[in-house]
Amino acid sequence: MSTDRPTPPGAPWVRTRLGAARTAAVLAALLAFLVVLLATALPRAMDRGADRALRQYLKDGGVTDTSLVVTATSGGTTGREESGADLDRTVGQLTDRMTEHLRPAPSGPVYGRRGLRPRALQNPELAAPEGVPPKLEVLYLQGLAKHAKLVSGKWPDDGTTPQTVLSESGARTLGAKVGTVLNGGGGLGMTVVGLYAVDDPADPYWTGMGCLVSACSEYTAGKPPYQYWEVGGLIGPNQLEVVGSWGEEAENFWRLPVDIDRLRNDQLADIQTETAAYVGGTTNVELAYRTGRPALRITSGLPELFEQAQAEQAAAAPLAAIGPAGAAGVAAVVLCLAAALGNDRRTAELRLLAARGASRAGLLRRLLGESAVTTLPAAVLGGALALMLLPTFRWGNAVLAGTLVTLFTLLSLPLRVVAPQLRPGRRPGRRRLVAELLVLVVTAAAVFELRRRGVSAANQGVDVLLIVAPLLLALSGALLLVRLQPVTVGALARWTGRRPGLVGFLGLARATRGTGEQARPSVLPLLALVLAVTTAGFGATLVSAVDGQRHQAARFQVGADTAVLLPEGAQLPEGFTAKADALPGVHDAVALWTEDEVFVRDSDLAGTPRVTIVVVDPAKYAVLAHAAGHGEFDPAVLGGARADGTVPVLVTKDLANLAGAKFGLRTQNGDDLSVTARGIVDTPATVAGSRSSAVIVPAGPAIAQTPALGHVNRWYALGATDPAGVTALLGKTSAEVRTSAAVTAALAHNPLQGSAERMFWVSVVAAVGFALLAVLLALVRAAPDRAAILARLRTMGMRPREGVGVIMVESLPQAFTGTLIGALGAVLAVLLLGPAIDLTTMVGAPVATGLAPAVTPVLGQAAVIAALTTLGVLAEAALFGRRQITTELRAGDAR
Amino acid sequence: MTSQPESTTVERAQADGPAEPTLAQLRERALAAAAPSSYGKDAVIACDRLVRIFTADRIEVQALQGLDLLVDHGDLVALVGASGSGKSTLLNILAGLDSPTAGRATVAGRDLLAMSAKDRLRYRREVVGFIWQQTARNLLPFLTAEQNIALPMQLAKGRAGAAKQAARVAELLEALDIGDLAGRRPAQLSGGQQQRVAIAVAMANNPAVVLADEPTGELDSETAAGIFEAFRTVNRELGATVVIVTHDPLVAGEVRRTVAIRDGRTSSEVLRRTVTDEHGEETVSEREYVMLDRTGRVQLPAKFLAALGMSERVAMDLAADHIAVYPDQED
Repeated sequence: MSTDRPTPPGAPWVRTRLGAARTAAVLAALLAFLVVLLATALPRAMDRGADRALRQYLKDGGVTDTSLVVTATSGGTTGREESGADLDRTVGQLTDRMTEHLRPAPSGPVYGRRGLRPRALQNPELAAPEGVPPKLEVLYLQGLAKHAKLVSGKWPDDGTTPQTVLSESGARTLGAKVGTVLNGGGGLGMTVVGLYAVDDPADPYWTGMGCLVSACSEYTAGKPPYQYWEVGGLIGPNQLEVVGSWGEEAENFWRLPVDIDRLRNDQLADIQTETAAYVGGTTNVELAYRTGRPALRITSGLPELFEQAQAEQAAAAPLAAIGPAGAAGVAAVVLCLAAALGNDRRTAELRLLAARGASRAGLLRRLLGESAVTTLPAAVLGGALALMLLPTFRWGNAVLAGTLVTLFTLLSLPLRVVAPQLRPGRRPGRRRLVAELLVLVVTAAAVFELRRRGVSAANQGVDVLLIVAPLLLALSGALLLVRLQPVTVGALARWTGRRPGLVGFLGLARATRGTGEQARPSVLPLLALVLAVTTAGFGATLVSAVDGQRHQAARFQVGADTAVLLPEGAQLPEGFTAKADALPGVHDAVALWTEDEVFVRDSDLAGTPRVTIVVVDPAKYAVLAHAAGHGEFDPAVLGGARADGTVPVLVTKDLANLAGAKFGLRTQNGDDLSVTARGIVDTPATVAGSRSSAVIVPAGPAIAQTPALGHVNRWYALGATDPAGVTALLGKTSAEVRTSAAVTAALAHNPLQGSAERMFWVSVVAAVGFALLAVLLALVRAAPDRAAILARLRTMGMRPREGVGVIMVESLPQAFTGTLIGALGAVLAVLLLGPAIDLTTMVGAPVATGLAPAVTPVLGQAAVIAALTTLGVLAEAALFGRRQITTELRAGDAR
Repeated sequence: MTSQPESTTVERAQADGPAEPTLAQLRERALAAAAPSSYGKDAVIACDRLVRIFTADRIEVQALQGLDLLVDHGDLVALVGASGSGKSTLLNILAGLDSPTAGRATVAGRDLLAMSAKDRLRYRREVVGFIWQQTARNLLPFLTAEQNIALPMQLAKGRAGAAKQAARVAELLEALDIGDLAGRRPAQLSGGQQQRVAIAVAMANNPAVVLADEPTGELDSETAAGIFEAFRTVNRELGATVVIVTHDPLVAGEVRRTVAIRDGRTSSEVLRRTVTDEHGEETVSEREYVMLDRTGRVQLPAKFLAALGMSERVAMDLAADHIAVYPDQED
């Protein structure tokens, strides 16, 4: 008040303005925090997921495949006999070179020398279970003492005779003791000087090193095979030449496990190049030169693993990307809505400021100031939190995404306020029409290009078109809906206007208009809903298709959901079939007899190969074949015996020239069966090795003719059964129990794909959350307008309950049609884009290209979103619909 | 309706000049304002055949249909008219918030049709102050009265000249007798107090013209009288030309000049003069005039026409010091 105040009388704008609307400021900050957190977290989470998945994938490959295996024939350029020290020097030279992406793993290199052939031991006292003498392989392995304990005797040293140590368990199996001289024949003897016990058999040190942990049970190659034992004997570092003489030929090997935890998915291309240089490339040559071992060869399973990982990643990439893309779209819509809400609420204030002489730049500066004070700290906090919570190597993408979203959040309100003033006088309606047409044209072009192109070539990175096309479809759907809604809802409103009720008409009439002075409802909340539903629906279709196809592929492989397979000649125990059929979950079970190597007699076929016969109940088998998806046939064809006494049978395609012919079958036991081929099927489901020629014989007539066929050695069932129950029924009979569930799990065990799927579902949750937020924001945006109208209606005698009804009728049709259009968009996207999607890699088994539309997953998503939206609207109606008249209507209210 | 040209007015003004100096001066000023060559030369507001057409939902509404208006410097003018007569439109145009479709409008020498965005901004900052009908709309609810008054200065000059700004705020608070309200927010003020603060806000940058749109619309008559007093204070002590739009015909008793707007045109005006006679007694003389536009058109008041049954045509005679209008007596 005093005239001589040093400070100006005006208020500091930003502080005063924010102080006046604390709640709004806090909400804006929260929104900024949330979107920036998610935006920053997304690239980090994707990076982390991809890295983790790659590492898991590689680890699943095993230590041998993820190592650089260096081999060289014994003897360097020097010509003198080598010792353990020479190998040590070489390993140093090798690991010194691994300084780029491929680094030595902490488990350390495993190296030594091994012979190429084990030698049979001629000591009569050693175990020879089937008369075959045991074999000993001699190796030198560096660092033995660190991985095993000496149980008795001593470690081998520089004795004059060859010395070896055996594993305690191996020695026990063989019957060797400390002091035993193992006789390799040809004057070669090896004294056992000690026995060791392995510290940890799972230690990668022992992986792929033969029979060093315990004796291995081996079989001779002849027929019949005979069992014998094989053990590995380890020698000392100064007797390396023994390996050569014992094993006929020897090679030095260095297995250098690569530190998988240091590998990064984003560097995969570089890593592949580097690996290629190792495996038979320039690095190989360089190392051969450096180590002075010209015969040095490097092999590794890594290149193949990398290639597979890349292919699987590329296959899962659309799924991993479509979720975040949809969520980002919905989040952008929410930010726009928030800006629109802010703009609506401040129209009067901003108009007054302009009238009082605020320039556009001044307004922008003030709004930016407010925006910066609220959003910047929140955004920085959100970004920092995301960076901290999800540590990875890469910063660039996360920081870039966070910064872009921060900028968007920061500028959305100021630009929304100032933009309409930028070009006054232009007709916004025409601009809008042009923009909408442009979106439609771009969408059509994208769909056309995808249809024309089909499945994109592998290894071309993420298929952007495939990700963007569903979103464009959703956008087009939302735009069309907004254009159509006033017409359809208007017609509905006119119809309800002629009816006695008032609530329906009032609600619908309001639904045809936008908030405030807008003639049309806002496109933004609808767009958010449609985007969310389309994204969720499209992705869910993809996921469910993969699951379904995988299950089908597993059935195809197993032949049923549960299969019991017995070795050649064995039979299932009595009563097994009846008990197994009664197991819980089993339906459509079939037991059958199958026999390979059955001779075809009395046919015109020259050189007919031996065939497989399947003796089975045709009706049940047909059901099974249908479920497994191949070898389908009509069981009626096999009905009844023929007048000539032959049994009607079906033959597989490769026996097609037997069709219609009468011929005989003779089993290995010499039983005969005369049959007539009635038809051809493609491959029967149950025959292992689906290429083999097979004859399906109906059990009834066949057993009547040849009772010897009345056995059972296979049992197949559909339905989810516990394999343990089946195994229990088998008792002591040794049989293989295969289940489609196990095969499905094996196919689905894919870290790369699991990571993509997780990312998708998290994104869908985020997108749905944002869509709900959009709907709520739209409700809040229209709230003052609606509250005033409701209050006015209540002065005219409307009851509060009817007011709630008006809100519901006004809001719900839009939400429901939005959800419906989103679901339609998802189905349409699948229909239009399906042919361009190849599920083979994702399923893990070959399946037909293309994605078929599925109703259930899409409807499931849509129903959840519709239910959540309804809840939101109900809450809003309950809050605002019951306000008192006096709190809403004031003199001079311009609403 | 006017059938005779009035090209002789200037000559007559000059002829009468030397005979009665005071009357001549008055007349000269009035006639010069009507003369085509120097239209609006001395006026602070000059509107010449102003047209404003609104288009909404493909319906065109002609809010102003060739409006003429002259307001002299230091005048206190009320614009009255029925709702929808175009007075608010005119005010928005004068405030630089709207632009006319056709015609000419100058305020304090600035051509409102030829202003760029930048000029318009400076115009709003330096030339006009504005007061709206809704008391709550004139002030930002989160600023105190003092801060509200300082806001236009801040907007125009930033935070430079703090001492000067503080002095101006104090001056305005004192002039409008609201010094004790300086620290209060609008919600803590009555309607009348709010409008007083609003007047102070409008006067903050010392504009040449203050425009008020129904400033007493939401107030009772007693408070309204106080607000008019405040406008007179602004007009007299702070030297601003004041234009008040209202639909209340009683306002005519509060201001010197009342201009009536009908159908987007100025139709008539009432001038109040305080005449001091030889005994020192003050009497207020009030006289209603009809507007004469630049082409010589006169709109006759409807009740005059009805009283004499005039329609379509009238007869007219020029006398020495007036023009007589008669009903058409041919039939």
